Amino acid sequence: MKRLKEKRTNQNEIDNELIKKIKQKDSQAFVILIRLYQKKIFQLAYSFFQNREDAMDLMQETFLRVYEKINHFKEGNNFQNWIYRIAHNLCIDYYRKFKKRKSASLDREELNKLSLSDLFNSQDQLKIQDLKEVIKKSLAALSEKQRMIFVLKHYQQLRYSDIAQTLNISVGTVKSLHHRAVNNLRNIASQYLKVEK
Amino acid sequence: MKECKKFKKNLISFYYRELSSKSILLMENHLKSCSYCRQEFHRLKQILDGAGIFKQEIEEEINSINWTEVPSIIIDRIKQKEFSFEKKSFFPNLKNLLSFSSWRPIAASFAGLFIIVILCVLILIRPFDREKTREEFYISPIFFDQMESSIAKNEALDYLKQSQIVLMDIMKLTQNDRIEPWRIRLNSEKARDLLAKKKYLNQELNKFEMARAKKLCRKIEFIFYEVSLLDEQPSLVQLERIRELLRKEQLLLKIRLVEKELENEV
Repeated sequence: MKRLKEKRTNQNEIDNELIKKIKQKDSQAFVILIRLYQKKIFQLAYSFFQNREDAMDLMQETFLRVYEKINHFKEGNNFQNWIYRIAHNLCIDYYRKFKKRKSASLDREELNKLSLSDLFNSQDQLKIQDLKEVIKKSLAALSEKQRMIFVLKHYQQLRYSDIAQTLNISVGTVKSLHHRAVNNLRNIASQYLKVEK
Repeated sequence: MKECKKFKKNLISFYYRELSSKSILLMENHLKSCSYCRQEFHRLKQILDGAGIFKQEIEEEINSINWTEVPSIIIDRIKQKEFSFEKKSFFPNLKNLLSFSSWRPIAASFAGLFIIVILCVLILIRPFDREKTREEFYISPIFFDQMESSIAKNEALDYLKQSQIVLMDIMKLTQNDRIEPWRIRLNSEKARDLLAKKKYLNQELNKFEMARAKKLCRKIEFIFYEVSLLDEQPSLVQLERIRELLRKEQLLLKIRLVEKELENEV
């Protein structure tokens, strides 16, 4: 725990140093910042959209936005939370603009198309590929906010307090939304995974 | 069962190892003893562990990307954007500036304020303006009468000149033995026009006491009345009668005299 805290403090110090330089138009510092966060942002976007091209676009767009708004970033704040908030806002905007119709805003039909009899082999063991599909579709069936919180918690492994800061909501709301997301995910997926409710 | 409810609530936190060490111990002991909660946790674990499989896919995607190129792509995009921004900034696009959502309420309130100020200025300043206008364009009644009298004399003069032309033409008509119907029709129409004009002229003549002109106009009116009644093929007797009237009254001479008199007055 202590190590984790130390790691985070070091990370914050590095971020703040880089941001100072970026504010002075040091492009090399910006390159370092991109290298530090590019995979994290891609991971977040990919788990949200489940699509490589969209995730790449969104990751690039996030860094463009960071560069534009870097002067608005207050020194001493947590940069990771700030960049995640930018990415989150872009994800929501992008999703509402282009994806709402296409994406599984309840992709039950596609889920139903999966042959449930094929999902299980003779020992009732789920094929990994099909399980992944079920999880992906179930995740896509969650609301935007629940999905984002689940992604930040489960895939990005952020603390509730960091998620709260990123999404600008209270820790209690984050916890409640996360619990609801997990329950919904379980309810949706359990219909296809032969898990008793 | 009441206890189970309490533990069930903490199952997700237990999965993520977010409970205190004391709570973890309590939960572990409860799961050993309660088959219902154990089953519940098993279902939850199955789903959340399953979600981890998707994480593997993300890792695979991350590994397939050439990350060394990404910063240069982003830097290039920034440079392009900055270049286009610099180009644009020479001619700032006012429409884009106004379409920026946060500007809209400010712009609307400024527009409203501007309209209110304009209305206030119009309401407050307009009456003074009107008074000023009245002073600037004030015309004395004497000058106005003089102007009207001058216009009336000019009108009368014009009427007499036109009448003189028509009457002279009628005199010439009656001197020839051959009567041309188109000339009769033309003079008859002119006479009717002049009769209509005389109605308007009457008021002016009464107002400005032009007694002689008035008397003369009345005689002309009588002749024109006769002319307007002429057919296209009038008899020589009819024409002779008109000619006799003109001669007897010496109308052409009188017209000339009154004209001179009016010209001197004007």
